[in-house]
Amino acid sequence: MIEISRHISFGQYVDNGSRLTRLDPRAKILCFVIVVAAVTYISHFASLALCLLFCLFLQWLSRLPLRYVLQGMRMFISFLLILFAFQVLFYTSSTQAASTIWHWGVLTVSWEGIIHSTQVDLRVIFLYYLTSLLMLTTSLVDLADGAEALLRPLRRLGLPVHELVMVFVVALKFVPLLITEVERLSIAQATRGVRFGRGNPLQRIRALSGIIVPLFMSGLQRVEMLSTAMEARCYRAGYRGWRRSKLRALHWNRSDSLALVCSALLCALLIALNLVSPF
Amino acid sequence: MSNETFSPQGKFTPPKESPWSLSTRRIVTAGVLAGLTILMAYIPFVGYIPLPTPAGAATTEHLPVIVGSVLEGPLVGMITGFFFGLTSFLRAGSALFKDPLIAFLPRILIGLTSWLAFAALQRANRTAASALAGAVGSATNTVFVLGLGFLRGYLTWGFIVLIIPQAVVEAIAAAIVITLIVRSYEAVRGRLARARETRPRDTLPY
Repeated sequence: MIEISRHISFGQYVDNGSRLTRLDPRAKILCFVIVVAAVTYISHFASLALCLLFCLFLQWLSRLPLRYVLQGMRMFISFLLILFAFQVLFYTSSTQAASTIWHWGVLTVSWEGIIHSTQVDLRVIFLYYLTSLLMLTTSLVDLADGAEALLRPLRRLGLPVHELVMVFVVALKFVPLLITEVERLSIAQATRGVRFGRGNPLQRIRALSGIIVPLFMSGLQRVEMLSTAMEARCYRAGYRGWRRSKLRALHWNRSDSLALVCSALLCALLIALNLVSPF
Repeated sequence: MSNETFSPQGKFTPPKESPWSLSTRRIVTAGVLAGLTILMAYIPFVGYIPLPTPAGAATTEHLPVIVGSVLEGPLVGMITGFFFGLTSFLRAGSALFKDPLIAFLPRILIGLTSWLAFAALQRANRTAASALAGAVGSATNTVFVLGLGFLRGYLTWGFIVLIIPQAVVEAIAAAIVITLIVRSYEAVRGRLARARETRPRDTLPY
């Protein structure tokens, strides 16, 4: 519980000036959404292989060191491997009896189960990879600007789009800060002899409140500081008639359109391949 | 910030603004509480405490939502509630929370009901009001999740009856923790306020 932040590289931004980094955030988000939609739909090995090729291509475009990206996924993949074992053991379907390898009580290992779980888990890995690549190549500010620009039509419905995007940004920015806070607090409480995750439920809850209450306090004190700092810089939210301008305006280039067309083509190909291929 | 008032004793009195508007402070509060919600969901033994009961785990994820609506009004609570729904939707293992209606709607409603409970008693006694808000918020979560689960056919009556004792304990625990958080936060803010010079220097206590 204590060393959480050291294992998580998810959500970091590496600005290396690659083509992916320079892409317009709006284009990136749109491409991300359609590719993710397609990847969630596909289930056959042929389209998964195409997806792998696409990921390799993206990896080459992003010019990020492969080792760095894989290291960030290490914990997730080891977690997924454990999950895979459970998926295979508890897999049930009406047709699996034909391919059963090993059977004991409710636990069954069958080829069908192995294949099905592999397909599901590969898909999850691709989704995780695409998400982490989006975060690695786009700064949070760009991501927020892009999302706000894309969601602007919803303002017509009276939704405070800018404010909601701001909430998202603050939440994501605060997670690492709060993680270090939790680490600090749990070390402090452990020094005082509090034991976590032991004893009866009542004792557990008591030990927890020693972390939760100070955690809220420090979070709310940061609110105080941050909102004062923002207002000191003339940030106004929810103020009718104000149009905020951006320090860096977004520009839609030809390469953005190209990226969008390419990912739309890829999605069509993935789905077509999934419909045609027999396995 | 500017329209908060501090009495000469340095006691904290809440700002007078419409509960349905979004100020900078409210946006930041909602953001930080949403960050807490996300964080708590992924730290073992904090967001979801594994218990040997039929439900499998007790949650503490509704605490940020209730704190948000007590301190900053229903909108902050509802936005934080949306994030609670999001985390439970994303980490759900059972069909119950894979239903977006059950994952999101009860959690967004927590923000509204706990604020209503707090606002009703606020004038009389802030401690009692925050305790009530905690209990009502926790009960909203249980009642609506179980109720919608029953209506949409995921749960049976027998299971719901088995969960009731845990729900009562959860509501009491929420009432206690919310009171602790809200009252200690107000104490801290009152102390911060005392450092400001709201009266002539020679009358200050230090």
